Amino acid sequence: MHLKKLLTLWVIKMDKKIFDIYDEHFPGEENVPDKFAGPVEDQEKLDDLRKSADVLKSLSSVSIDEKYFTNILPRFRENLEKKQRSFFYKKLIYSSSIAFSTLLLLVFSFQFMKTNFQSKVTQQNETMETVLPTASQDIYIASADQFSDSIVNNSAVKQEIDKTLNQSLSAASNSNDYILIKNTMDYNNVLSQLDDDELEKVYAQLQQTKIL
Amino acid sequence: MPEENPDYDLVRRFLNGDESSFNQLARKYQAKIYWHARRMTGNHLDADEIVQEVLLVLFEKLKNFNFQSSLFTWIYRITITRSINYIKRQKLRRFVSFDEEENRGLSTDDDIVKNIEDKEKLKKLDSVLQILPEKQREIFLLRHFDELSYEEIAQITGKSVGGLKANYFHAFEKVVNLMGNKNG
Repeated sequence: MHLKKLLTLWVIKMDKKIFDIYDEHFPGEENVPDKFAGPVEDQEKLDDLRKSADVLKSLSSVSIDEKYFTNILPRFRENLEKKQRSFFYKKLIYSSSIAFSTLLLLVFSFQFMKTNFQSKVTQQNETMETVLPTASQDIYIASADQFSDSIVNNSAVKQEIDKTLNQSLSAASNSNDYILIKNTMDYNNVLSQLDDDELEKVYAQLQQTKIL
Repeated sequence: MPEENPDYDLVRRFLNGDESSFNQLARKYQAKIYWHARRMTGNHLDADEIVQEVLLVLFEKLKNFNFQSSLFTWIYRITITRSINYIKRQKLRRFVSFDEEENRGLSTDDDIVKNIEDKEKLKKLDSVLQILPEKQREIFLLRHFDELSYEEIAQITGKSVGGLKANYFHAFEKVVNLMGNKNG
């Protein structure tokens, strides 16, 4: 068993050596190289190897339809054109879808902004409506208060008011109405100066006069 | 003065607005892109879809090309990434919708290989390649069919040369054994 294994290894090693010789002079070498000076058995092995290689190569040498090779390029150009066209369409679809979605986005955002703006304006108007009158009232009251305060606190105005009031009072004290009031104060004297007929007349008139 | 990569000039012209330069680039690499994708996926329809996808990526990303690496490694990197992503997507789709049979039926009808014998050959190749894990299949294809150097494959895949050599050896061994079994 051990001997058989050794023999197999030797055969493989030899084959590798012969193969290396074949491979070194591959391709084109017709004759066995001079440096190969091995036993006849090895020479035969190399010949067999060469034959096998030739058979293998001969399997590949077949007559073919040459039209195929002349048609490769036109078909390639056709495919290329198709590919470029489909690429163009893909690009077109892609860019138009991008443009469409951008447009859609813009429309939506515009619509949203518009709605938002309108609601804001409405809200603002409502706020203005509620806030502005109160504010104006407050401002008005505040300014009126300020004005009255300024008047009250102003010494010149105070003096003027006092002066006007005094003048009015003094004017009133000198007027006839006031005399009338004075006269009423001497009313008993007037009555004492009247005779009886006159008193009766006054009395009768007073009776005729409707009070209230 | 180092000789400038002729692809660079086409790229510059395309970047300056010359659309015909892109057509030239596409014509130059379309077969390589197709066959790599076809061997990766194992059917024509999937490969065709990958070709269209790769050309579209080229058209759109060529402005990011830094002129540091060669254009073909850059194109291979895109093709490999797209192929592996496509395979993962298909696996997931088949897992979800259980439409594996339906998909395979469509691919045989619209195949660019019309000869029955050639169809059989490709079917055999696909059946072998599809056994390999995706990453290993990718390295195997780049090395065996596209005949790129390990340095170039390392540039494309971002893996070490040692790792790539080991991967290629294992893939090769697997493929040869599978073919032997199928023939035997």
